[in-house]
Amino acid sequence: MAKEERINTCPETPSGRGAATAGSMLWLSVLSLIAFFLFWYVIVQFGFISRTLLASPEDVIRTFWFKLSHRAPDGATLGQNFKASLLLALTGYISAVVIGVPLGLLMGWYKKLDEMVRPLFELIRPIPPIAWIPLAILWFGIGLAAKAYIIWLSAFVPSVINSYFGIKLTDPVLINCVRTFGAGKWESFLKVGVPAALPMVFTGLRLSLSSAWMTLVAAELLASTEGLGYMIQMGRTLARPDIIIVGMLTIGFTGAAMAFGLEKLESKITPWRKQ
Amino acid sequence: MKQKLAAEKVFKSFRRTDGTVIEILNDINITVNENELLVILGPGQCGKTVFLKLVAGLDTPSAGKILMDGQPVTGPSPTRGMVFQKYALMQWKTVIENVGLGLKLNGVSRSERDDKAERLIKLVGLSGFERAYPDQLSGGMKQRVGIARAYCTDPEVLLMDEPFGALDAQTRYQMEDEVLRIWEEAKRTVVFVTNNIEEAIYLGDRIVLLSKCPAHVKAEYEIDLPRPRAFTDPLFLELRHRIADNSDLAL
Amino acid sequence: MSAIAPPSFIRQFQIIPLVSVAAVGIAWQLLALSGYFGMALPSPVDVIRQFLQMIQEPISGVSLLGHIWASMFRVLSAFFIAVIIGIPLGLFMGWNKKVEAIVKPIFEIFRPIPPIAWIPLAILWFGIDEAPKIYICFIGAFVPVVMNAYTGIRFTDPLLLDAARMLGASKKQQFLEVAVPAALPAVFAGLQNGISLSWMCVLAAEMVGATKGVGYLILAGMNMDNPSMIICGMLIIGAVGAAIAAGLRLAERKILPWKREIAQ
Repeated sequence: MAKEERINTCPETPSGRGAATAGSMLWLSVLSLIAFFLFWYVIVQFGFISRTLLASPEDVIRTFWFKLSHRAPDGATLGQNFKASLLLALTGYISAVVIGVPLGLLMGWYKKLDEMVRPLFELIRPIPPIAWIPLAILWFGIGLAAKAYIIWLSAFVPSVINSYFGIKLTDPVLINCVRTFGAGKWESFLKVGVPAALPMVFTGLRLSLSSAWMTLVAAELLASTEGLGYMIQMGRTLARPDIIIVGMLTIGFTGAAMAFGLEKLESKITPWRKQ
Repeated sequence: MKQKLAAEKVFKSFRRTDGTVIEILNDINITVNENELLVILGPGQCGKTVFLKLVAGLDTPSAGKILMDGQPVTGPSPTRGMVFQKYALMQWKTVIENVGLGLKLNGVSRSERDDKAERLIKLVGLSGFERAYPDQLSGGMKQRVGIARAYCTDPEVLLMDEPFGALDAQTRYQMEDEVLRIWEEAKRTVVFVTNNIEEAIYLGDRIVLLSKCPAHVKAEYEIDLPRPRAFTDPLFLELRHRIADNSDLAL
Repeated sequence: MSAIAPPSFIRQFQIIPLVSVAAVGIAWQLLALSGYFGMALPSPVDVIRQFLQMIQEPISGVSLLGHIWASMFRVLSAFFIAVIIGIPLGLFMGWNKKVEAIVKPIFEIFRPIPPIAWIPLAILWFGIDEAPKIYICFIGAFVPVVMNAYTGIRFTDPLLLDAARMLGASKKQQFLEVAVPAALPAVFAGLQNGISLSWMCVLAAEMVGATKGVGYLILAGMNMDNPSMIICGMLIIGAVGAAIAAGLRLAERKILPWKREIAQ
């Protein structure tokens, strides 16, 4: 029997899921997206929803190009708002994880440190970062300091928690193995604990990033005069849904891009991690 | 002796994601007689489970035919019961619900299901554990549930895919005896897959020895020893020696 | 991962906070008394006094419980709608490749947009009343609920599906008898995430514009230059959030009695 005839070209599909080729699925997705945008366009264009409430896709695209180079009507170009937001978010995020991850790792490893820090941490943890905004404004006034503080806090907590559990869940067999080679507490921490905790550390980094970005938007809605959050707030004040939508999509896209970048970093640093 | 199952010129290959093709089964020809306990023995990763899935109807051969009672097997069916190495029990169902699952899927009423399930739970020696969850059971107990569940739909054929592979040695010996006891009490055609030579000789009426991947049938052995067999019997050991010499090693 | 936290850890958790919280409390009191931060940092005593006052006197015409209930109502209504729509949607998306192909791309456009970023649009659409707040909370809960149900079904153990097929299950039966129950733990994780995100969203929505609610409370504290009230509000927010999460965990244990706890 010829070899070609024996080959089963149908890849194993898990039973129960609709068996269809990947190609036809792609078509469905494309058609779905087209239908969505078409629907959006039609309901605005033909007046089912007023233009003051919802901008049509073409308005959004036009405004997007416009905002790339014009400051009006909120006072800054899209690029300026974007940069302001990104800078703030990254500063808050990086400074938070640089402290939070090591703290969480050490807390997980050294019980004494855990006992000291834990109660204060557990008191702060249930309070959503957004709830800090009024206090921060009272303390620091509306501006950079308040925003930075809240973003820092929102990124800090998930990093600590996930790093902590990353260490706590290290397989004791691995630790014992290294100790039979004569490694001391600090050495086994660096050589076994930390690497074993890395996957959870990255989970924490991901959560911190999305938390920071989300908190940034909230902070800019309430306590800012620049940035993407401020821009969409202005959009509402001026009854310009097109500006709001441009802002929302920029926010969404930036968040997704940063998450993607983090994923790439993660696969570089922890190549052994199976998805 | 009536032929219950037949595999004729069966080939199976898979296409990997990078496009290369890997051949698993290469011209397999096996027959199984009614109410016989056939053991398929082979090194690890050589396609035994793949073959059993073809017989079960969970997958189709790349070429060749699988026949049951002379009719081609086109898909899974409750006339062929299967016991899995990893038990495959539903964690959220109690023992009695797991055992009766096959009947539930076929529309049998609750009281009838529970009656039948209770009888089978007694048969496998798990009376008293009807309301337990799988998580609360030991490995051996879980597998008994698996066997009871497979029996519950009154299958004509029982397929067992290395059912004791995940158990410790002691439990394994115990379960081998249990399987024989249950089989003597409720005779079926059984196809039992394993990589353990002693287990194969202990259990089987006949042993089909597969080579390593891509697998073909290396040899067949008829076991004439009366049951219960003794692992230390000289005939047992001689047979074991012969088979071991003929076996391929898996890497 | 097989490590289980040592039992002493759990015992410590109950004893140590009493000692350390006392230490933190004392340090805080001293710091406040020292006047280093002036009016901005109230002492623990001030906060407790304020809390008692809040229990007795209504704030802006609404009692403390009234504020808490206002927020909870918004979250719970939104959560309820999100669950009714989101769980079936997520389950079907995970099970049926066609549904997935149609819904997922649209979902992926909206998913990265933080629910809070919807606030200006929601206010533009619905005004400043209950509707925009419930809408925002809905968005907040909807995404995690759908995503978790979706991944829960997608990762159904094929072995279990094989076992069901052998017993004679049709596709529909495989879905209802195997995939959905197997996905329940993931669904519950989605509910937890969803409701905590919803809780955060209601705060943000209330701070932008509301006349009652816990978010309104802390904003009022800010407007009245009353840090004690703000801190009380924050602690109440934390406590209610924790209570909701605990309630959900309890419900999970009742509905999924077979799920073994991983020791924490």
